[in-house]
Amino acid sequence: MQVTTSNRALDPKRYAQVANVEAIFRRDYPYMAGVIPRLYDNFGDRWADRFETTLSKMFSEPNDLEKALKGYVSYIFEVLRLHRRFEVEREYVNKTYEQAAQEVYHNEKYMLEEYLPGALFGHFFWPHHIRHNIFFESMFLEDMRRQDAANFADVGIGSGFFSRTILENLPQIRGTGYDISQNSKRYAEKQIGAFGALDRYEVVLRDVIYDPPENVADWLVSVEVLEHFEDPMPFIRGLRTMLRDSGKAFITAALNAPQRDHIYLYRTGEEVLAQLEEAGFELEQYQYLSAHKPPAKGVPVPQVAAFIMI
Amino acid sequence: MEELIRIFREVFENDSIELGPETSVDDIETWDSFHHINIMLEIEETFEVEFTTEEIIRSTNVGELVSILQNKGCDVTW
Repeated sequence: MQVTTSNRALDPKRYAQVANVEAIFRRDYPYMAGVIPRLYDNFGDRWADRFETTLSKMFSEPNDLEKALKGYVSYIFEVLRLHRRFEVEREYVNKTYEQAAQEVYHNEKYMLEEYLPGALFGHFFWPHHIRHNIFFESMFLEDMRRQDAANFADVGIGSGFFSRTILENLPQIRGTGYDISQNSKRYAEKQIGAFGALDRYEVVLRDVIYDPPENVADWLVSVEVLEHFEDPMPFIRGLRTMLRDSGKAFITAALNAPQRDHIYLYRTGEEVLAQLEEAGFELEQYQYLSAHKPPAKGVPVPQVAAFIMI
Repeated sequence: MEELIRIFREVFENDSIELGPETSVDDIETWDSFHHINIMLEIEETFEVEFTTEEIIRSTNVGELVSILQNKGCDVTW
């Protein structure tokens, strides 16, 4: 899929909400002032169109956008602080899954005000996530379209972004999101409802480690969930149980990416692949993307490792 | 102030940086979110303080930053 690039300035009439984000950054978070121009220069109208649509549909009430951007900025500074520590210590902060669940997934204020806006905006502000989404759309979503996909499962839905992307692009498909967080359910339903697709989607609060539904999906996505467990293998086996034998999965993990709820440290994409194969998946495609160049030789950089598995 | 100036010069790799109360993000071209968190973390280590996320967000000029440090009991004067 081609990415349009442009050295033109963003058209504030065509992209009024994106221009609004830039204005809010300049006014309230001036160290973020370069973000929108740089992204538009790198990813062009395709990126701006997607972002404008999301902003228009998700943040229609007064002050919604400003609150969400403040949440994103809080989130990003916490992540950057953790990463500075990680560059020295090369380990994540030691935490159990239960601790992370209480601190994050079941923390309504943090989830709705920082974490989920952070996750949503990350899809548009982080170049490696933008490129990762292009891989998803061109390699997995396009396959779903060609094969007239009728159903999908999204496990660990986060903000609901990937479920929404599938529903938005495949008007005939029905989907089920699985998550343990009532807050993720609420946010994802808001996002999918804003795109008019809630009649084709339901969120089931269910822990697929202990109780995975069997053979429920021909198409399965699970984006940046594996690193949230002390041992990802039971979860990965749960995904394998959920996917029908002829099905296909899009599974990703964050590497070298400290975050409040990242517990299992993946240092390389090969580590992730080895676990997926141990659980019975076979590799079809993969992509590894780095957030930025290393600041110095040997310094770890956050990455996303994405796999299309059968 | 010497310590603050040293930190800014090191983080931005620019020995010509001078600081005043109005020195802001607009005055230093490469002052982005990465440099911002690096400045704040260096200041935490040097002055043995801890910033809240809110304080990190608010510190968009040196005057604001000095005010926060003074409120934390740091001996920072112009």
